[in-house]
Amino acid sequence: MEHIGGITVSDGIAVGVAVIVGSVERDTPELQVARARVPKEIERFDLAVREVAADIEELRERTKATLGGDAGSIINTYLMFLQDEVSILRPIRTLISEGRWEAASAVVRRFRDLMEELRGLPEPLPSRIPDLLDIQRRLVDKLQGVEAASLTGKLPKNCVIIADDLTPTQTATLDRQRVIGFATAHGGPASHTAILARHLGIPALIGLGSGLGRVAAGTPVIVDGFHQRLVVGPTTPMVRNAKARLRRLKDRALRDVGAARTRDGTTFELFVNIDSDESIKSLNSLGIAGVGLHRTEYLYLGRDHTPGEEEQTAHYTRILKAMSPKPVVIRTMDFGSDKWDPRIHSLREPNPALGLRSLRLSFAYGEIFTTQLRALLRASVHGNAHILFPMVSDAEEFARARACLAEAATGLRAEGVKFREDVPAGAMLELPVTALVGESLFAAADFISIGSNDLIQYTLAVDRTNRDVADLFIPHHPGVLKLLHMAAETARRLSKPITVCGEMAGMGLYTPVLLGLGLTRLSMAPSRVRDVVDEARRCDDATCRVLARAMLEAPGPEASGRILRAHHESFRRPTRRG
Amino acid sequence: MTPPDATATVVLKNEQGLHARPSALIVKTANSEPFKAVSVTLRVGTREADCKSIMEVMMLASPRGTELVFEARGSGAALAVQALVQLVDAGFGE
Repeated sequence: MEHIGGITVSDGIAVGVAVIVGSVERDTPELQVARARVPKEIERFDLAVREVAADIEELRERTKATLGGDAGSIINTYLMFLQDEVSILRPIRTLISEGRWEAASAVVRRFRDLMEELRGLPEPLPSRIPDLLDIQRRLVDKLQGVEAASLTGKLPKNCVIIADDLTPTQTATLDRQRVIGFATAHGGPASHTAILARHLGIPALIGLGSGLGRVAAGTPVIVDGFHQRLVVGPTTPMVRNAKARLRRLKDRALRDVGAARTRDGTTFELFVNIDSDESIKSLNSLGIAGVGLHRTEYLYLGRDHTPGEEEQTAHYTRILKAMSPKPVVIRTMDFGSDKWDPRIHSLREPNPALGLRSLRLSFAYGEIFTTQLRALLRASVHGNAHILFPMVSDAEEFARARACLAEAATGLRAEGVKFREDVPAGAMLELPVTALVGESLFAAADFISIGSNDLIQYTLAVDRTNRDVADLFIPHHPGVLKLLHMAAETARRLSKPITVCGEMAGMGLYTPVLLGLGLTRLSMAPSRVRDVVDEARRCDDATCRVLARAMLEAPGPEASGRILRAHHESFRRPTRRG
Repeated sequence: MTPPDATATVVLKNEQGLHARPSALIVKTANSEPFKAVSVTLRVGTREADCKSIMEVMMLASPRGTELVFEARGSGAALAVQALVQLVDAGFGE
């Protein structure tokens, strides 16, 4: 029996068997080979080039169909690199035959030189470096045989997927009936694995690291989302115990949570975050105020086509109708960083969290953005739709997003298509800068949503999926709380509704803090609703405010953490995750 | 090297110079079926690039206003040079 610690991105418990997908963890090679091996290495290299070219051609055809000829021509440039005898293919063969480098090592060496040369040239030439990096990665992957095992084949029942990370294609082709949990070495909270897991309502752990490489296929495992660990080869009592907890969880989740109010009767509003329209029916019985965040990435990810206007309109309409008259906040596509669709965003960036992501990416791919906005407007007549733009930095960027929406509206009006003229448009606060210049932005927006996950990441400069720094991802850091407080105050002054919809909102541990900061609209995964309601019932308004004030004034995260623990212990209740 | 069978000089006039897309168009033309047997060199000052290599053409990093000299060898050399000059003259359709 062994425990491997990770980070929970979708909670719950799963008891099943391990299915290994692809290999886990590998290094960039620096290997040399014997002279006799040289012809074989050259042969492997030539084969890899042909296979990567075929993959790229396939990608080109798909891109052409969805993005039009222009994107296709960018990919043609890609293919030319793979046909470049003089600067790429021949020098690599020479590195193999004369330097006796193993094929993948030779590829890495040649590309390193080429990228170095490009770096020294005037713009826009250095901007081709990501293309070269991508081609290099594809070649090395081919040469190392790191093509993930097919998931389309027959999976065993109750399988727990163990992988480095899943690609969009893999998430799409997965036999969902048989998968009951995920455990990955890498991946982010917004990665495909995480989104899919939450969408299916099954537990997922990420960031398990290289320890995952030791798990053999077919081993019994328990994914324990509550204790953030994977149990490999559990004992019989552990399995029995886990199954009992699983049953209790299922019973509890189905009951109505009742009114969301604190001990002294202060009411607050609970919303849910959803990724798809599948679970919408069961939500209505939960007694929630509405959908606080519908992420739309799932519509695009792992599909064989970019969803068109009709398909999207039908999808939004289903959700709006099911929830009507309750509000549904639909966030426009939020790609980039760790969430990307190869058809929309195929190039790897050196620093994606600070790159072309989210709303910036939507602006760059205006046509796809417009399609979504048109679909949202068309669906708006069927319910209480709210449109939310992700990662807005300031009022000017918000105005630009609004202008896109207005343009979509003008188009529909000209075509005589019905839509609601007064659909509220909101901004997502995920960057420290947004809180700092909140005054003008909040005045322009109809509502504000706080994405606490990114806000914490950007405030503390911590990637919580990076094991080396994950313990620095501290939601109760006084600096984070100050930004939340600032946002809450600005919203109150301008009478704008403000909702917290990151993971922090669904963690009972933080419920009294958020309420104390004046954040009384919380949106969370459906599975978290009961915990938050239970927690709030222990609180009263005054205590929450004192708690928040004390934490805001704490000199650092350790001190604010101590204050928070003391608060929870005063209820004779151990602090626990969410 | 033997003297070229055909040669022509043309001035680069598109805004961003010889960046990735124009370079790709040159390589595409030089590599196209009718010119398979033609070898084309692009000369800029003292530097030169094989027109069948996208990296080499790109690495010339030629800005707008640069004088490009195409030199072709082999059967079909004149037509290849003509096609490339037309491409540059048309500003690569930009």
